[in-house]
Amino acid sequence: MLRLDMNVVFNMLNLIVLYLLLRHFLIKPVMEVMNKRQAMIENSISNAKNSEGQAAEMKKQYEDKLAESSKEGLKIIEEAKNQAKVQYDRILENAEEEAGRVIGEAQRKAEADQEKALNEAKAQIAGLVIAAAAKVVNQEASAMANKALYDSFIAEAGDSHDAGSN
Amino acid sequence: MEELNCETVFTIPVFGGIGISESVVVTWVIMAALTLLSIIFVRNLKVENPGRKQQVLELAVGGLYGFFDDLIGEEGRRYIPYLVSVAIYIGVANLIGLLGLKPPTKDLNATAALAIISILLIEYASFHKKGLKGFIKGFAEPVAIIAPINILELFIKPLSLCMRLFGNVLGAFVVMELIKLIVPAIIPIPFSMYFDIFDGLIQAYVFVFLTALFIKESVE
Repeated sequence: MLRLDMNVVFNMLNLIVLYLLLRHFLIKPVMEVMNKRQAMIENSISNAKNSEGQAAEMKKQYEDKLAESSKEGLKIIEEAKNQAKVQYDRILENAEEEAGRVIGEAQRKAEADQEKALNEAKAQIAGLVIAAAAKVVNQEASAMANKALYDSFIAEAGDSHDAGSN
Repeated sequence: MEELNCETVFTIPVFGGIGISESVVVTWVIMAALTLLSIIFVRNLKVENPGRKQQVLELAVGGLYGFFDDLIGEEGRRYIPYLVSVAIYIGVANLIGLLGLKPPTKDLNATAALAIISILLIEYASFHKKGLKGFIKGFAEPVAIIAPINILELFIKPLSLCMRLFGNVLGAFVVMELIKLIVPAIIPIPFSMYFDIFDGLIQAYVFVFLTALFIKESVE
């Protein structure tokens, strides 16, 4: 029952051979597959993390760009407003100037017309007065002397009238 | 009491006849079966979408591997395949009585072989890790005065491993035979559950567990 002989050596050989067989046929391939899977999983996790980081970075870039472009847009609008205001002011000024000019001209023209009308009226009135006076006094006094006399009279009356109306 | 003895199956007619015992022959059978099963099951392993068969296989091998990996740590990782092989071998050897073959572990020669290989591996692990000087110094640790005890351990460790396994399997076998002698039917079933299956697996576990612990101790 308790015999110990050469069979120890055979059993040891058996064990070593069994170990080599199992290592080669069972443990190595199975562990290889498991390690490969592990590596694959780790790889894909790190890949996912990488792409997540990239996406975040891209998002940040886009946001930056967006903010920048909106700022740019505001600036452009502001500039346009300023320009428009300058142009508006300029146009308004031009228009005012023009209007002032037109009004001044019109005034001058009106004054000239008035003057002319006045002069004409004076001349006619003088003629009428001379004719009337000639009829009244019936005398052929020196027309030139009378005309001068009435002219001075009318001028005096007009001046006093002008001064009164002014 | 004939069952207790391990028969000599045949004799090689050299050096005045070398008797090959039953344990060696049964071990051959186990080796052949395990290798064949390994080849069959390991075919077509896939990294992605493993089949159910592969999942079970990975659970078993990966579980054993992880168990020893936790025990033995980074330093002793190279010895894990041996421990896994021995665990499978002792487990199968203890259970093979269910198939009507005599368990090889019931032969002192087989358990002695296991224990000798284990102690050789343990000492080799220490030698490989620490070099010759460290290996010899290791006997004088933690203090020089216990060096004799450390040297004695070289023989105690394998002896205890060997005798524990042998005694348990033999004891279980004897108890089972006695029960079967008294009540041949029904009653032996629960006892067989314990002595043939549970005890066999527990002894396989204890053997490789202790070996792993010793290896870890020696590589520290």
